[in-house]
Amino acid sequence: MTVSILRRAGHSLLVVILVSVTAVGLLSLAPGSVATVILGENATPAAVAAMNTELGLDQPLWRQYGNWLGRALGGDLGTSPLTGQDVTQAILDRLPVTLELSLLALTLSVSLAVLLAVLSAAAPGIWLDRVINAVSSAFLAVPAFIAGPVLIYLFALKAGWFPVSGWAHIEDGLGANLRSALLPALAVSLTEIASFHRLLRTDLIGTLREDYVAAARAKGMPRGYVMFRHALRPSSFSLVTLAGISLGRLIGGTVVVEILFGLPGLGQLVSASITARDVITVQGVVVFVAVTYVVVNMLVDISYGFLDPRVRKAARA
Amino acid sequence: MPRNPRTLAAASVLSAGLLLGACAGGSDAADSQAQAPQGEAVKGGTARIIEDAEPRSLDPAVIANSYANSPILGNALYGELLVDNPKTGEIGYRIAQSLTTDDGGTTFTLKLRPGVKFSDGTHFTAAAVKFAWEHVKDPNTNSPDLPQAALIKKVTATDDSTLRIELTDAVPRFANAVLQTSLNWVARPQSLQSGTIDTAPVGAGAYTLEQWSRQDVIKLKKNPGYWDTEHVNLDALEIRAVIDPDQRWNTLLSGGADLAMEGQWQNVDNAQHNGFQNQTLDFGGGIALVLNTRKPPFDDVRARQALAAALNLDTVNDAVFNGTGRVPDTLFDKSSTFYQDIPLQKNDPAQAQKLFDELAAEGRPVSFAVSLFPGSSALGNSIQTQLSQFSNVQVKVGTIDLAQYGTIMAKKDYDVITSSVTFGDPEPRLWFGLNGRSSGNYSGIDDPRLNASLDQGRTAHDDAERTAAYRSVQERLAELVPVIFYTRASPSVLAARDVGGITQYGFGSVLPENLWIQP
Amino acid sequence: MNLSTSPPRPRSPFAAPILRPVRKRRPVLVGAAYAWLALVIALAVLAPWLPIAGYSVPAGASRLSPGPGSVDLLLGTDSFGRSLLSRCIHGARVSLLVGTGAGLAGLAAGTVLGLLGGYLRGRVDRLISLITDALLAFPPLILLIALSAVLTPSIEVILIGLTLVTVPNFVRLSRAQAISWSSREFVRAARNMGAGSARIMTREVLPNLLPALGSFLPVVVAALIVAEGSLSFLGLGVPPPRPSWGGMINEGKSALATSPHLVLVPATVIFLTVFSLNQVGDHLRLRFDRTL
Repeated sequence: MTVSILRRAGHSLLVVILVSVTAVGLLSLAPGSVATVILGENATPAAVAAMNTELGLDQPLWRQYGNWLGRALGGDLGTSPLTGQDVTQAILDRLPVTLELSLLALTLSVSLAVLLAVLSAAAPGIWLDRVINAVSSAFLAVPAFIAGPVLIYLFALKAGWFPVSGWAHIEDGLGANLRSALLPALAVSLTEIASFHRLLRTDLIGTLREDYVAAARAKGMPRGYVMFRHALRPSSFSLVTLAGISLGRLIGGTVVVEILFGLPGLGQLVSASITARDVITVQGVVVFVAVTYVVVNMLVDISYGFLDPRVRKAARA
Repeated sequence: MPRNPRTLAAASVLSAGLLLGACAGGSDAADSQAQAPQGEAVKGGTARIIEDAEPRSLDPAVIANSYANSPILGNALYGELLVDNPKTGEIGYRIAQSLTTDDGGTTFTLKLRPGVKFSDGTHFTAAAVKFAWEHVKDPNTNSPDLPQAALIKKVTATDDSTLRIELTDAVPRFANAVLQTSLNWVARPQSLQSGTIDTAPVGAGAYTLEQWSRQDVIKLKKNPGYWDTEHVNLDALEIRAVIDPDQRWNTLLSGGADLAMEGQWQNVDNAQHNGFQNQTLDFGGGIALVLNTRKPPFDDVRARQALAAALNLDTVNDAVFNGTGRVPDTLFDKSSTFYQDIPLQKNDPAQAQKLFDELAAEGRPVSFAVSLFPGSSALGNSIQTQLSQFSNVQVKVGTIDLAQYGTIMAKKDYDVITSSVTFGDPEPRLWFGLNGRSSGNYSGIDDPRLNASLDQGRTAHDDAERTAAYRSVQERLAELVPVIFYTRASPSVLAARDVGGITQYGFGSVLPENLWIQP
Repeated sequence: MNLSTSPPRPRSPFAAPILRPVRKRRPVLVGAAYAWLALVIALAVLAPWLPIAGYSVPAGASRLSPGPGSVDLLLGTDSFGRSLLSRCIHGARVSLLVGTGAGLAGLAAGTVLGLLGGYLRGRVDRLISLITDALLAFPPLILLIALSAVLTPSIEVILIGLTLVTVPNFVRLSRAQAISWSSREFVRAARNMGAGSARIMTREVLPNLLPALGSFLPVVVAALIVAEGSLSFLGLGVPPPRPSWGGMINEGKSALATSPHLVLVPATVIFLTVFSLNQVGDHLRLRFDRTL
């Protein structure tokens, strides 16, 4: 077990390095540099060259990367040449927004999906199940860039229940904070609801066919009790797994709603930095997101190995 | 299968929802523009303000003192040397006590108000002004106000409160160059040198920085040491930059802000129809398609005339601004003393086609690219759609990559870009936009008669002479077509009904110290 | 971005019976989905020969609401007076080209890599897994935004970017299937009879992979159409005047309050197409994915 965990960790480290190399390589191919962005239209070639030297951008790419990697392994992601902000600090400033958005979207998706899945698995094939399935399939076809403008129009402009844009921090009150987060979270969670529902429904139907469930029913236990006690519990594990993976995906995937709703999250930071060729910041954010993704996956894997006897047995065999 | 219709209906529940919501829209336009609240200014409270752009740094030189950027932020942090009344052009003195010339505009003397202090308690000195202006003038600062700063040849602090300014040429209306730009804002030099300008900027404004979260909010609180502190009303300001115009309007409409700087006619129109306050300055010139006259195809005046004749600007207005824009027929606004009824261009498709054909026959076909900033694709689409009706003309639309903007402008590597040539008094902005010697002349037009007329408008002492000079500018402009103005600018402030004390000066800048909110 | 709507674990998302209706088929809905897709594909292919206005020329006044009268004005006009019907049809060319192009390219590359990794195992497998995991860990939309900064947005660039995003999903699916098929008796038998690896992979394993992989294609195409829409929505899609559905929503969203059809028409088209592709995908998987 230890060996496999170590191997897994080594693999993950390589993955993260590969991701950061790709990020640097990609942006170094892009025309223009952060020096021209800072100096603007009045820049003389000499001034651009001087600025490049000052920022260390005249060194060979591998050396720039090496320097960065050395510091990054020590936890220092560098300083943005564009804004003079410490990148780690910039990420920590933005993370609460993206994280809260992702967690809220996840909570919404899971709770709605559980409700829908229980309703549809209770009596598969009847009209309720079919309606829920259709709605769920419909949700799957509503990407955030469609859901966003429509939600803004209906619930922020027409109904006036939510702010149109901007972010209220938790310090300003939980109510205001949730109000500013709910619409964007809903916009990204529609497709997640659908995928959670699909998985959970199949899972539940499968479990409900197991012998022990039939036995429980035969003992006269109430239907609802059996559903929650015997069927939902085993399924909840795969739901947790799915939630972990979904979280990893959401943290890097809220760009559209952050821009649409004007939220100061990681997505806004990275897209603004790409436009300005702020390689240091892009690198920092991309690596941060990749590490999150990898760590979540690794934890899911490892915990799965520990918790599910079938996997443990299979690993030994 | 009897149940299938129901399933189908359920599947389309979403699109049905969309349609229902949509049908409810667009009918509740209450055509009413609000008046400012009456009575005495109220002290206290926090204003939530929207500006149109977030500065890269709080260095005053890069904040930009214009309606389309973040003028309230600059005024709040750094105060103002001068202000003006945009309607009359009359200069008002704030931190500066006087700005005088005794040789017709080549040398000036700036006197500072005694006793003004920076927010850290140190004295506001002439040396600080000198440092600030030289900082704006340094090309490496990349200040948008470089053309104005470049008018300055030399500044000398003759004593703590007096500054002697030598200009490169006679510019009698130099005060406009100061109060329309970041030359109006002075930070404590030490704050710029030590690199703490973004975390703890030190200025002499009515407010100081409490917190700046990028792409989020800038929180400012009242500066108790401000020179005019008894006239400051609000306790705190919360400034957000909202770049997207729809988001800006929606935020104001839904009560997410008290006041918004605005540069889009559509939002001005929205405000007028929904019971919001609106103040808009009537400026001349406008936002223009700038044709690069240094290279083909627009080095040929016929190509420029053809494009101007081909475009129906009312159609552009309809497409881009939903018809709310104001298409300039003449260079000056009717409210200006220099207004002459000399039409800038005339929509004449037949003439345009004739010119396109003529140029193509000579082997010089009109084929060009329009380079636009991200977010203004509607303009490109409109031009493309209109020109699709003509033959022998080809247009591509490209988006300017921000990282390449500097290089593109330095190399003059464009056929058509959009730029603002907007002015209240034509001095000095009109000169910058069209004079052959100006670095802000993006069309590169360098016409002796146009140059001479602009110079004359600059140095002339009486209004009759200026009027004659600008008449000549207008005639020449209509002949040469280096730029096609497609809308007037809309230097506006929109605000909820309860906001008082909205005062604009200069290039649509707003004074935060005058604002108040009715409780 | 919705390329992996279901989890790679506990069971591989692609091998997993994601939707197993108890009643095996829902003919009308699935039939309608096939019909819609057929209609969209037919219109897209035939677009240049259809009696409709061009996508870049005005067909009437601006922002006309949908209404009968002429074919071109059936779905109304946009801010420039261009026919929304024509733009939807020509936009379908972009969406379908990008979606299927990148989907097929991803399918091809992913199948080969997954097959190599899953059959050969060892170092090859580790290397391929490394690359796959790295691609999966790179936030897809950020990768696409960065790519469009490197190269001027065009159909080719979007194709390359979307292919990159698709490959790892197919690698995972193909690898899992290759591992499972490689342990079957007939594969072992072929090996015992002295067949080479290349022969076994192409003759024995590959044919068994393709149905499952192919039946996954519609769902991927749906995800790719959404991804292209997101890019166009951010203004990084195909350059004007060429229409794309996401771009149309982007152009129309400022008029949502006054002329909602500018957004609703392309939004409905995207919705129906993605919905249909998902339905067809589920249907195909039920029929062709033998692991179900």
